[in-house]
Amino acid sequence: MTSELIYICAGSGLVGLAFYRLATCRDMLLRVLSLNVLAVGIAILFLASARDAGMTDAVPQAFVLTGIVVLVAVTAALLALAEQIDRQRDE
Amino acid sequence: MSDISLLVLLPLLAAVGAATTPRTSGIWGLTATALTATLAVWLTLDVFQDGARYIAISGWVAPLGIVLVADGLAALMLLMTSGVGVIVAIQAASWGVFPSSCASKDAESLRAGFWPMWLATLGAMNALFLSGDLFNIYVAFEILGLTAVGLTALSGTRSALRAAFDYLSAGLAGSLLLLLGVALAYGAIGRVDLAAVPMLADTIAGRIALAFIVAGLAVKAALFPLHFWMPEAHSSATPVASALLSALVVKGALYVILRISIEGGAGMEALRFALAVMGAAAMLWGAWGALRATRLKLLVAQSTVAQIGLITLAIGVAGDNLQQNGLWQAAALLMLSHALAKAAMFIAVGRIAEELGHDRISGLNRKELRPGAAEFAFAIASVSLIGLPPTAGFIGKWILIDGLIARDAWIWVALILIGTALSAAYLSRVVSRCLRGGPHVAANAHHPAWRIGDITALGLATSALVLGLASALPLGLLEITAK
Amino acid sequence: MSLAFDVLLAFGVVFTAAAALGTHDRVASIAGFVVTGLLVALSLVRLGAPDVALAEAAIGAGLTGALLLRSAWRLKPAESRVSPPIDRIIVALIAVCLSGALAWAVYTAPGAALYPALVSERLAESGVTNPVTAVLLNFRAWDTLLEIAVLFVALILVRIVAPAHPQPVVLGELMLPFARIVVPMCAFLAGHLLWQGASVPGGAFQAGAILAGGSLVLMLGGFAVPTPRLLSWGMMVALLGLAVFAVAALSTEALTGTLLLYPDGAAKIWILMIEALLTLSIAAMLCLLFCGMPRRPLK
Repeated sequence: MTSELIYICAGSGLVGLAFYRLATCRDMLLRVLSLNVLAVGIAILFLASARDAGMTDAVPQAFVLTGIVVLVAVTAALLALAEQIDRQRDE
Repeated sequence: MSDISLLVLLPLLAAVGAATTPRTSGIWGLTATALTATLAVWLTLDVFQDGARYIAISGWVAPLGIVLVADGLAALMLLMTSGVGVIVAIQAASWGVFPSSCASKDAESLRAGFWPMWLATLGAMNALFLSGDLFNIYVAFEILGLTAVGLTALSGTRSALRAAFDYLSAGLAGSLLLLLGVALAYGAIGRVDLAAVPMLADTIAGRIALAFIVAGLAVKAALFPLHFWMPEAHSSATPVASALLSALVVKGALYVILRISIEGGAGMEALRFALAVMGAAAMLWGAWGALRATRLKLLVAQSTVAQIGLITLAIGVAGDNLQQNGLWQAAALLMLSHALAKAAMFIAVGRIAEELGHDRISGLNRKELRPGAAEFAFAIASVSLIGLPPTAGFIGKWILIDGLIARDAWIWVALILIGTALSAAYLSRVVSRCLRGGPHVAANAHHPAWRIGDITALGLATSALVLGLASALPLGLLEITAK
Repeated sequence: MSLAFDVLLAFGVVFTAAAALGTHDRVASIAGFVVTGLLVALSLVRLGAPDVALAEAAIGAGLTGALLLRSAWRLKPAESRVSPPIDRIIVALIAVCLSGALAWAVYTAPGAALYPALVSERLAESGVTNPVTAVLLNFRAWDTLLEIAVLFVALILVRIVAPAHPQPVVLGELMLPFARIVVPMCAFLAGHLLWQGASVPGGAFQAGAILAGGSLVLMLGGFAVPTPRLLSWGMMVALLGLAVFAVAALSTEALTGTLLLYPDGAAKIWILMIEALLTLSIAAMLCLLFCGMPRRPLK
């Protein structure tokens, strides 16, 4: 069992957990959290498959880095929307 | 500075400018949109003369670098976006983004938000159409997802914000599916450029990757059954935002599905069949939703679901480029005609709602109000959407049905005809109530006053009509493929 | 030996994620998520991707955790609607099948390893020796440009939607000794990561994120009050990033005829200049995403 397989299992485990939570939960904050966990799982899968005899490929690393930055932007936007929805519900 | 790079960078720079100076954002918006439209025309003429063009960014060719490709299909999409964009932008400028019934103190901050969002949408869509790399397409979709949500959330009402949140969550889920597909594609063949899609379609791992990619795109294109976020989003946005969302933003995802299908070759048959089935289901489901809708905007949004189904059906049955059957050109033409007609419809609906004060379909025939230009624009746009001659919608459907008959695919033909009949049914709900005369109208009925909204809506609707007569031009453009 | 470490780490990642997603206490969920993020960063180091590990720790775990915590206090908890157990069992089964299928698909994928050879061939011409920086700012700089545009649009979206009075709450007296250590360290680390990113793991995004962290400490400690003036300065710096990158792209096209092709031999200088400006801009953008911006006051 190579170390890549271990991390591939971890990554797909995260994807499965996030999918389960997304399908069963209504709370906005928890949904955002699950989407983040989903993205992290995909990131691990990507990089685990990019490993080739000890050296990791530079291009997928750039992809995942871009993905992380994009994800934080979308998360911030989602949370801003959620806060405003909540505030309007108060008024 | 070539036109290809300016097509993306000019709108983005103008977006920065509009964001910095909110008071003059309208000027940034209008000039940038007009300039982008000119660039798109220039590029199209260039492609007509000299064939498809490539730019290898930074001098590195694929697969290491990113390649921008401008062939006939891309040029057509660029023209569509800029053309519809210019007219909708004029509309937005005149309305101040909102119909005049809105409080003026909000109007300025709304204007300040609209223009950067629209310009970023334009830049992102252009980047999408020109891109030749799957990961690049993913990043462009991220921009597009955020700008579309921004356009939805502009009006600030509770339903708009809720719809925007659902839209963004669905968009993120779609993007993650797309990213997962790109990761699997990398795992299968080690590269992610579009030219490698035929290689993907040849292996099992590659086909799974393509399935994930198309699934992510289907979420973004609001294809049934992944369309749940769409009707609310498009109907609670302001009319200008709805026009942009329905007419342009969904086309981005449909374009990429079409592009992948064309490149994919024979290995994608199962995927294409699935697309065709979902498209047919979407046509029927959207029509059902439109028949039951009580509000005008919701009806138009459901009709978008149905039309997206039709376009996806066309992509699914078209097969790949090698079969030389030209059906994928029908899909492209249907995209174009739908963009024109749907933008016209949403602007017309905005005007109708402005005059009446509400947009309930049951309350459309008020005795004191004669039908005005907006109602006529709606009717002409309906003609194109249903697909009656001589509109572009008719030409697209004709090519599609003709090709299907030639292949003895009677079930698909029957489904398309049922879809057409249903669209005639739900659109006539509106048109029959709007356009009335004779004994139904009171003696002292008056015409609503003319506004720019009427002119823009009529302009868009008429171009959908006229495009059918001039359809040789877009079809000729589509012939220019990148090889 | 290292295999045992990997197993432990991977198990930790999945366990903390499950704990974070399973608990009902919001703050505990977010704390669990941050721990998961840090463990994932360690896993990424084990997978040979230190640049990504830095970014995941700073942005994925750190900043995202901060954003979630901020919202956790402002959002009302949703009504807990418990789905019937049979529904949950079905979804759980689907989730298990999904992760199994995914793991199998990724593990058995043949993979052609095209990129490494291409990257190492052309690394010398790229102007830097860190392959990830070369990919981000030379080979695939167009992706990076569009990525800055994503941050820009998110910022505009937050400005449209967000409340009129951003108020990160001042955290109190214990922040002072913490800030005394952390803020100078952040400034130093950011500059260091930016400079060394050309040859070893580091770069603009990581440096920008750390700088943003330092600025947030300043704000949360009450040392820098988010007045409208300060916020609009921050907005200017944030917008500068996309503008400068786009203008740089256009000027490379004017100078050398190809989009984003740096002039011969000057690649390193161009990359460093763009990276420096991007660092400041990314820091401003991430900061503003956290604390929000006032809409233009309508007098």
